[in-house]
Amino acid sequence: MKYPNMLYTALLSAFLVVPFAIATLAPVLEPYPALLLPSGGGTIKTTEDQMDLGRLVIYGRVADRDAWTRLSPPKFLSPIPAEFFSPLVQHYFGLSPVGPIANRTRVGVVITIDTRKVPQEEVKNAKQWLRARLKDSGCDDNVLRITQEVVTFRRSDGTEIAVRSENDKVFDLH
Amino acid sequence: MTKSLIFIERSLTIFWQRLEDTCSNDARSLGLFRIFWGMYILLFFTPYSAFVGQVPQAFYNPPVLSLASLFAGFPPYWLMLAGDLVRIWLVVLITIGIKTRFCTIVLCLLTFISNNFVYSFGKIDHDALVWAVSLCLAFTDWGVPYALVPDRRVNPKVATRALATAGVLIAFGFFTAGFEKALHWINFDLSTGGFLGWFYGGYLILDRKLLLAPLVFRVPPQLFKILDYAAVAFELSPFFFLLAGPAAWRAWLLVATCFHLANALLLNIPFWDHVLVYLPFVAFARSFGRLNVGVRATNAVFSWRVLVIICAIILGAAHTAQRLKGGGSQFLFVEGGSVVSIYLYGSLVLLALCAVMIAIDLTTRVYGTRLYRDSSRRAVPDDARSGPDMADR
Repeated sequence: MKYPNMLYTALLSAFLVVPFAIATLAPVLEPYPALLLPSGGGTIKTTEDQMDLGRLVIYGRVADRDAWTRLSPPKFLSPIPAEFFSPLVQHYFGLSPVGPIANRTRVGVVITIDTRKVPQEEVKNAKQWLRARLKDSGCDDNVLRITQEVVTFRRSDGTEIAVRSENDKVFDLH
Repeated sequence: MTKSLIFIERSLTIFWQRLEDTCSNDARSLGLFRIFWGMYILLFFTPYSAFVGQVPQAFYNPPVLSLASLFAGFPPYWLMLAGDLVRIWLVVLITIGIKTRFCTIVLCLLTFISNNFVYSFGKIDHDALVWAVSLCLAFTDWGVPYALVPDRRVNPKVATRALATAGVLIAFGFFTAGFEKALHWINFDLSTGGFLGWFYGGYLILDRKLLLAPLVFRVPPQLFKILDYAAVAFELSPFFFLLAGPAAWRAWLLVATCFHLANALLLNIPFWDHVLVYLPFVAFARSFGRLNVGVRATNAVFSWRVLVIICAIILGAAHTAQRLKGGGSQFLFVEGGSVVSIYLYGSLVLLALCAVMIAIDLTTRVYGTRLYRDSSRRAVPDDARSGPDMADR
């Protein structure tokens, strides 16, 4: 082989750089497998007394009472690791169709990704699974509430000051 | 055109030679690391993906650019379980040293496939570096020393290139983490924070409130800007340390371990799997030179390798039993939602152990180099135990 180091370096670079470039320009298209480590380059304002953070929460109705209880993601999802809670909830556990999602890339191009259409049979199975989990959590297994909340915290000690619901959905599991 | 190509080829030859010198490690050390690697995976990072075969197909949301996107849903439970069991026993074989090279390559490929389905809930975790580095090790002689069925030795050039490639993968991985941070964190705006962005989200939303996390509130937020700059400098610097030489590279690895320790303490984010990424560069044979770890065991009955074989098989059998009962765990056989805190506390111990091992290796390396230089200057016969390549003798 005439230029072995050049060939080796070129192949290795392609293997490393191409997925990185895709993930950087269009995070929604991050390939797998790819040699990437979590970047998380966002910043937060640190000078105000209060700050607003968004969170996704699931609630179960307390059995025989008209009250909701917040469910702990690690316990509710186990053995699914808790880090998958957010994407699962964003897709409403497949219970409700989520329309095509438009994502703007860093170069300004908008990529629209069609979400997978979930057949009725799979929705039925998902409801069955969720009912079992709600029962294990001591909740009424008829309904599941998924809420997008904006929570105001006191920056100095992390005390929760206020909670505002932005998107509240209750799913009938029967 | 040809002259340019020759120039580039020559430059790359020098570049790779430099990396190979920096990353090189003797076969005995790699053999010892192989055993550590296997036991570590069997205890703390065991393959576990069977659970995806038991979740509703409605949850299936694979990455667009991945093999899993070609499939309609999660594979059946029996297939994922079989994949887990095969991988567990491949780890056992690697630990014991049976056809290590073949087993390592198959294990890494199977892991990429299994993990693709695990990451089909809508989020990709970033543990590819562990398996990419392990794949590089398959092309070294790590399956030769202390092995029950040793591999055929590879061309030394291939082995050194494999380790150098592992170094490049680590450096590039960290570059990908630091690049975006550099775009947003490096400024003189003390009213914003990058580290604090991670902290507040983790503490307040994800309940990461253990260890030293509560103490962060006591520190003026502007001071954390220093951490922003330090994190970016650390994550963008590994290529420089790779080129700077063996001691510099291992110093960076020590800093990397401390970085993970700090993240575990302050952000409750444990990256204990990276112990397997940093330790292939540690000269275990040099550091454990006084212990009886000779390739030819003097006492077959009490050979420590027999103990390793027995332990590996017992762990493999224990994992098999747990899986066949329908359970499973990555970390110390612990199941359930409370495993998060166990991961965290366990990771502190593992990362601290990693830091100690790297520090010992670094100290031995630096001290050995200084003694060698002093001896050369005084033109006296070298002490055979104090040369820089003591582990190779």
